[in-house]
Amino acid sequence: MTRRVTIGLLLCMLVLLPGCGGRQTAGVADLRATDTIRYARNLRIEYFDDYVSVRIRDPWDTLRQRQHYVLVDRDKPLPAHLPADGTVIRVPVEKAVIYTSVHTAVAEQIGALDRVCGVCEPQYITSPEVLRRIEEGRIADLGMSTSPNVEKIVDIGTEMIVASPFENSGYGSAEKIGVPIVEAADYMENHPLGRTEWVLFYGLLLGRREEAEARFAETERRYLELKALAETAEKHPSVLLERKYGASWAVPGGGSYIGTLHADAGADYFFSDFPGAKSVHLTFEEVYDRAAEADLWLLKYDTREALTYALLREEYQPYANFRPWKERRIFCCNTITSTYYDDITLHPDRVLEDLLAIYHPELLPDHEQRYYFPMNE
Amino acid sequence: MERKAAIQTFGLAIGYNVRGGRRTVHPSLDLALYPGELTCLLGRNGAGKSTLLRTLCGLQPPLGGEVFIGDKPLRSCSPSELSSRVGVVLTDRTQAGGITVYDLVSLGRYPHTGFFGTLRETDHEKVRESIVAAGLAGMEERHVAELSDGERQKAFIAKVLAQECPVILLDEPTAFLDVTSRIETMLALRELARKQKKAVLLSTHDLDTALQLADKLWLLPACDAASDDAVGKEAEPMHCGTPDKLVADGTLARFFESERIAFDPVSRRLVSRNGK
Amino acid sequence: MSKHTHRWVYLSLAAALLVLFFVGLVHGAVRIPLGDVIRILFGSYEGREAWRHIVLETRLPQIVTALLSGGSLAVSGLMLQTLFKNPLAGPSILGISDGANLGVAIAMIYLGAASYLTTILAALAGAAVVLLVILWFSRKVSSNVMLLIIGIMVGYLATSVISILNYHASADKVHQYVMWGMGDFSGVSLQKLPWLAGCSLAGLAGALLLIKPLNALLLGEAYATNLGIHVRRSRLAILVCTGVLTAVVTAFCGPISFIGLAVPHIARLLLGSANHRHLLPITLLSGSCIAMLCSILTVMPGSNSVIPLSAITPIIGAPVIIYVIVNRKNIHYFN
Repeated sequence: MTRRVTIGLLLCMLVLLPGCGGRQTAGVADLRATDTIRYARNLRIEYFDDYVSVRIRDPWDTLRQRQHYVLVDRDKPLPAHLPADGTVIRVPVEKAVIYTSVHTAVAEQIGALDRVCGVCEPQYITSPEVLRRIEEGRIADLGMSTSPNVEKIVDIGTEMIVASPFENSGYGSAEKIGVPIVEAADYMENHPLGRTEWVLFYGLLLGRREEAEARFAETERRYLELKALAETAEKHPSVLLERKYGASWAVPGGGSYIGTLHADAGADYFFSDFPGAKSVHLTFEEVYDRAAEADLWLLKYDTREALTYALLREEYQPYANFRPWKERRIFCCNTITSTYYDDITLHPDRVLEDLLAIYHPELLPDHEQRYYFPMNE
Repeated sequence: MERKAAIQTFGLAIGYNVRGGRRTVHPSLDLALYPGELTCLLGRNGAGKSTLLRTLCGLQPPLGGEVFIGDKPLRSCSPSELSSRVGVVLTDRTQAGGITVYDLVSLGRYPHTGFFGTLRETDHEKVRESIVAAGLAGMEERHVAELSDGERQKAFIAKVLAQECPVILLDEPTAFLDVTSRIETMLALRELARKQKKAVLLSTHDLDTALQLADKLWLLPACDAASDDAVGKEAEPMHCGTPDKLVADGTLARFFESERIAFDPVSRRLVSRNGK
Repeated sequence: MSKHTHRWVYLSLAAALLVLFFVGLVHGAVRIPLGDVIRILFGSYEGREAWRHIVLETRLPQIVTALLSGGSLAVSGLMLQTLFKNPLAGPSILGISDGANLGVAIAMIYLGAASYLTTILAALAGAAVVLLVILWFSRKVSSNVMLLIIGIMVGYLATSVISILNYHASADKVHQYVMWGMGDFSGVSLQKLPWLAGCSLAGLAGALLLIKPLNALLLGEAYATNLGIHVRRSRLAILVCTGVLTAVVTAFCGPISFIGLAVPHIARLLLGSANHRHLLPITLLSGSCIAMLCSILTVMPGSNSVIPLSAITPIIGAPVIIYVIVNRKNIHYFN
């Protein structure tokens, strides 16, 4: 009997020994928890004993892995058997540079603003606290995100950069300073909760794991609650989104973030039959042909001047032929003055609530609109 | 009997502006061009023949003095007034390659046509006449770009004929022509001058033909001036007269002779001094 | 011979114009049966209201815009090529469309304004500024070649200022500007059309009045003066006419390349002559036809996407220019 146990132990060791060389598949015993990501398609988080492995799939070529980050506790010594293909980041990061205002907002919302040492394009940041810190010099202004002040990034002792990736772009000279660049590809997620779920990653990076998990759980709960409420509605109003730019009208597909959001709010989005997540560029007449009799029309715009029915018609007369224009059933969101973009990453439930109140006012009679308001004359 | 001059100048100074000043080609010219005559303008290269011609038709402003076209001072003539009084043939390059000979000659009728330049039947007749007179009959539909240099020259002469002006100024019109064409052109121009009472002035390097066919010769001396002031009263004046007169009084000889070249009054030719 | 050529060219172009106009009404991303289109045009249509709107309020203004813009740009290009004695001159060369571009860029990016009227006024203002600059220089510089180079430099200046503005603008404003910067015929609604038509037709009428000076200028300034043409005044008139035509099209449709440059060549090759008496009207008709063709081609049958106009005009324009350059020895108006 002892002999069997010994052989068994020896066998285990034989199995484990190669595992010490660093291949995670061999480290079955190392896994504390399997990947718990449920909504995000391009993110995978695996917890090991002495590190956390975060894999980001390439949203443009989903068979490829785009990034692999290996998060190691900064107070512990660096383990010997880390995955060779990963970028090591010592967490929690104490000095992070964030290129995008959206992620700066996320950092603030999970209470990690103290760890942010630099941002880009402060003119698009609406948070008073962040703006105050920039004034005081506690957070550095690094200029344009397309070409930030790399010398300053080095100067302030940056440990990590968070940037939004594009399909074929690099980061210029920022890639050469030896600071890990975290590609925040959450904007490519098609499910609203999937995008929010990335906050777990940011929480790990900025030492606010519990806060992030709690926020996500809360958002998920509220979102699913609202979605269930929407499903109780009897009728689904047909909705038209956005408008044309130049010669084409960009129409998001049914599987896109926007398409999902509006469907979850209980609307019948006109182009939900367009598969996939990509936007299709249609001619005005195609959109008009299908959606002239829409029940509702929702628009976002980014000028300081408020959009009105008169302005819309002035922009392009045929807009006035759509039923929502004639019956005054247009709702619009001014993305400059509203916190739409700041909130939507962590709180899609709030946007969902706004939409649900528009589509089914009887279900949320006491709701006060936050983002979308009826358009003025 | 005092004939009326078609063009008259008094103390005409010709030249042009250069950076930092002016270059005076000649400080003072008193000239008279008469109708019914063929006048040839001769002179060294750089003496200013082109400048003189361009000044006389208003294309270049005079540096001083007066020019009269008939009774009217040149400077008070508008382009449209001038266009029906003085026609020119120049050595300028043009973009006219893409139009036909007929179209080119038709442009000569512009001073006589209305706003759109439409030609009436009388205009068309004149155009056809001019083409024939210039020796280009049958080539109306050829594009100007297809013509030889000589043919192109004739086309521009045809154009100025169609313009029907009492004065015609030509800058080296026989430059590209072969010997026969040269003489024929000069003959045609002289006939034009005599028959239609036009004042025809042309510049040329062809002394032989000029001596034979011209009614008048103008000899333009070159003025080398160190400065504007130096070219004052000392400048040699233009020599004008019939060929016979200028030969007889030796002006021609003095004008053209040099160390190695002499003028033989008998044969009326320039010959080399050494080696007979 | 010439008379027959003229007649055939005019007839063919007129026929092409009508055909293309009709195709523009019938063809589009939404399939509307031919019979219905005809009924809509004659007012006897009883079917879907949406289809009536599409034909009358989207397709009709678009094809008319193409017709007017094509003619305007082509005539503008012809006048510039004659004035500058340069077969490669065009409205973009003089920097006028760049000036209009700059005006719009400033309005959109710097002032944040994106209303239709503001854009148009800004384009006109920008073009007017460049035009005034060129006019001023045309008084100081008598050589046409030098003036052309000044126009090119001014164009570069305008473009670089636009780049700098782009650089400092936010992503969505750049997106807005880029969308405008692509040029398209579909942005002019029925209500705006009279403005475009008015300015455009005024400019074209002005051009027709300039046929005589344009022909005279073929002989150069000396001969033209001798034929009774006020060269300086004519040059001014040509520049103003060209400026208005270019600015109006750029203001309503955004920058459109190649039509001003290539169509005069197509017209000269069709006509076989550089005489503006017929060349100008034929350039006008050809420009309209080519522009309508390009507008039709932006929507390929069977495809879901719209091809930007700025991608189609070079496909037609560039081969023409290359052909002309390669064959220039045999081409009369080049010599």
